[in-house]
Amino acid sequence: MIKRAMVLVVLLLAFQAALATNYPLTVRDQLGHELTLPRAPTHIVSMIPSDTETVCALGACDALVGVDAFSDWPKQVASLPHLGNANAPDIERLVALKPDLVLTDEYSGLAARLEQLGIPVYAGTPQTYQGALDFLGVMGRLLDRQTAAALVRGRIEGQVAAVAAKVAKLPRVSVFVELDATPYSVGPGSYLGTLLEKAGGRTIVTRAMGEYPQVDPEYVVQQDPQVVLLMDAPYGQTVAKAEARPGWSGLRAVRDGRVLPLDQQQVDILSRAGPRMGDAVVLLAKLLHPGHF
Amino acid sequence: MARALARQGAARRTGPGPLLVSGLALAIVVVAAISVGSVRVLPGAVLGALLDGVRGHHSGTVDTIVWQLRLPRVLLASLVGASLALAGATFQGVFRNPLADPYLLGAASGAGFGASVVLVFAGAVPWLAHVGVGWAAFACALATVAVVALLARQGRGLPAVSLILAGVVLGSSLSAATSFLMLAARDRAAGILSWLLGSFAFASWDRVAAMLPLLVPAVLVLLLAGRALDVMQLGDESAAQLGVPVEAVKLILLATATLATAAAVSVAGVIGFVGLVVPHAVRLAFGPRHVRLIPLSAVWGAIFLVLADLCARTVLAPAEIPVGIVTALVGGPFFLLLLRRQRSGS
Amino acid sequence: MSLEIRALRAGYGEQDVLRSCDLRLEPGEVVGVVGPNGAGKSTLVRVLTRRLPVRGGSVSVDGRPLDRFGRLELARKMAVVPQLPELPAGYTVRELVSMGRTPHLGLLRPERDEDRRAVEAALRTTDTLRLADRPATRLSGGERQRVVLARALAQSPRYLLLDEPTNHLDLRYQVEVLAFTRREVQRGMAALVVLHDLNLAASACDRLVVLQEGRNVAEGPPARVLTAPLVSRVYGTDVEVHALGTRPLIVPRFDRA
Repeated sequence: MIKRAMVLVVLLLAFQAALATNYPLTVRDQLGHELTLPRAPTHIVSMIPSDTETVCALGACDALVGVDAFSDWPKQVASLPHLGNANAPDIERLVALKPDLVLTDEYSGLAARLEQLGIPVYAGTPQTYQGALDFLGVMGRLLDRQTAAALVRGRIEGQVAAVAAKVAKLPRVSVFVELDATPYSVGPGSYLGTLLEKAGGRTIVTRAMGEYPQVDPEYVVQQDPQVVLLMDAPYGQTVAKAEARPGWSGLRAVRDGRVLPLDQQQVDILSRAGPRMGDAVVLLAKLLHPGHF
Repeated sequence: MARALARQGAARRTGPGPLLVSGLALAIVVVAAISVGSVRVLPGAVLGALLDGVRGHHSGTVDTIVWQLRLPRVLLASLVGASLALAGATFQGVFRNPLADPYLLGAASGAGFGASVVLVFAGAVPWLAHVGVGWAAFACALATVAVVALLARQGRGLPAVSLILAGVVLGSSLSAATSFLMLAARDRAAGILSWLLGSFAFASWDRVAAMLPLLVPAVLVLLLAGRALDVMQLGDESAAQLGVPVEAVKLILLATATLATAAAVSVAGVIGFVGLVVPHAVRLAFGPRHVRLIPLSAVWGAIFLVLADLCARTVLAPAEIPVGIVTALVGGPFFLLLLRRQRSGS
Repeated sequence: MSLEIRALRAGYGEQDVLRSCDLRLEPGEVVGVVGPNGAGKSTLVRVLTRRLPVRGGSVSVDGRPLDRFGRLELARKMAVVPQLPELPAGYTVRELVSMGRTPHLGLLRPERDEDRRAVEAALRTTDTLRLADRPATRLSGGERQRVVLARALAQSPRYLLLDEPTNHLDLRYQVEVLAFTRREVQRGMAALVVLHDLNLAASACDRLVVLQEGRNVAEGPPARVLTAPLVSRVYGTDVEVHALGTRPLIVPRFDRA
């Protein structure tokens, strides 16, 4: 008995040890550049809102010293210095914070500039569901929070699995996701399209139309979606205005009162491929299958 | 004030005075710009950092901020401002039109398109990422103007109207293509827009070094072209009758100005009004003789853009206004003022 | 030392405007070229300034064909006073006249004393010295034409080509321009003047060449050339010609119109 307990303890300790990061740590970011961290970072700057959420979800929120202007979750980051955004950064202030790790995107050129200044940078922005899950793992390694990363990942997958189990028995709901009034929508290959799938819905946009296509308004009317999600509601779009569009009065979504405006918080949750992905899928499931969730 | 200066005529027209004074103004503006930024650094510390750097040791955050961020930024703004003003003065001289600006032949639209292609496709096409936004913008700007020149060629000449028409047509097409890219790849739209509006946030010694080999020869060529530009103001025919090889001079000057413009746009994005307003103002204040107009435009272009960038990064700190917006907000009304002065004067 | 044009043929596109033009210009004389519109006067000027190619016949300056001259070389020999001169804003009269020294200086060499002297002389001849420091935009029509003439004189040319230099000027300035030209010609220059006004041509020129449909129809001193039958035929309207001293006076007849 005691032997078994001891084996368990040894296994647990070994497990823990295996889950601890060994520094100095060298990783390759999504631009292919190598980054070496001598120890766990304690002065982190995040220029991407989803990265900020990830860092905090892993329990390293106290290590954040600066964020971009769009990072707003969790609430405690609001009091951190704001550094513009990746395309128009306040590099001076960033440098003055003496960060030992900066998280930014691959496209703005900020990563290259910071490397020139000798600041450790990880460039990469997950754009897909799977990519975001993998990113959790990478961040867990970088920040020596691998256990937390595994837990967050497990939680997300659990939420998604729970939703999947329920919606498997329900008919799929057709959805028109309105990004703006042009209208722009999302295809099934996009991040939001993937989440919709997992929540028992499907976008009326076909795969052939692309990931963020401009859609013909006639097409929307012809497809007669069951639910309309107004992602542009925080920017002035209203249900009344949408329902007044030509041809919309006959839509199922209008008749059943399922033209749904989203608030800024909900839009953020649905747009950021980060630790709140599970919440995003749950939110969608609630919107698409009210009464079941 | 400009009219009073012009009336003083002869006394102002020769002599190194204005150039020295302008140079001094530039030095003062540069020092002021280096001392100010979103992080408060006391003037004494700035001086200390400068001296440290000169002596060869760099240490500490202040040194990094002054030497790696502010100094290259201010220098780059000066070089870009000088390039755009020089190009503007040249275009205004060659086309004999005070409304000409460096983007007349499509350099800006070409650069924007090149930059957008890289920003949108660099993920999928790795060698694009290798080339980089700056070089793509530079190459496309040059290619666009070359195509415009080929389209406008008539025999051995480059008639002004044909050049302008071709420039407008090609420029519009490329702008439309850029807009299409921005809409087709919406997640990159913000990045493209930022690039188009112009910014010195990513200024670095690399970019300064990239500009110098283009700007220095351009300045030399344009300085030597002073008399040619003056005589060409008489009209193509009169200038030819005085022995000026008009078409060859036009070609060389337009090519030089385009190089300077392409270099400026590739390191800083599309910054408007500098090339239009600065040479105009300098001409009103100091006269049209190009031997003087050229160098003074360069200096005042530098001053204007350094000050514009200073506003861009301090007025709404810690947010930055794209410098192209500042030059438009300042340049637009200033240009209207110049126009009114000119109309009431003549 | 002369400008010789023999059987010159030139034109635009498929058309020939000048079919056969002969002209000889020597130092010390003012030769006028007259004729109705379309006769080829402007075409002649364009050939001499090398904007149009010689299609037939020959043009030689001081014994050499026109196309054998380098750009600067030709500009040192021949100066042009254009029909509609442009005087760009902001430059002073002296600066504009100094541009006339370009053929001697090229694009890069600085001004020398002899250049400054040539400019001064040109300003004095055209009585524009007192305007020297004035900006070109503040000149009257007559003053502007004198400045353009001064620029041409500053080129120190041997041949002066004036292309309808009097068209928009008041009578006084028409006379001035031609008087200053005659003064220079007396000092050794040769002048070819394209004119519209027959009487002005008759008074100011030593010899006239009358062009019609691209050919010479007459050539010689005004009194001999401008006869009533010739003028009536060439211009298609009846005129009377009276002698005024040694010069003819052409008077159109309105009663027969």
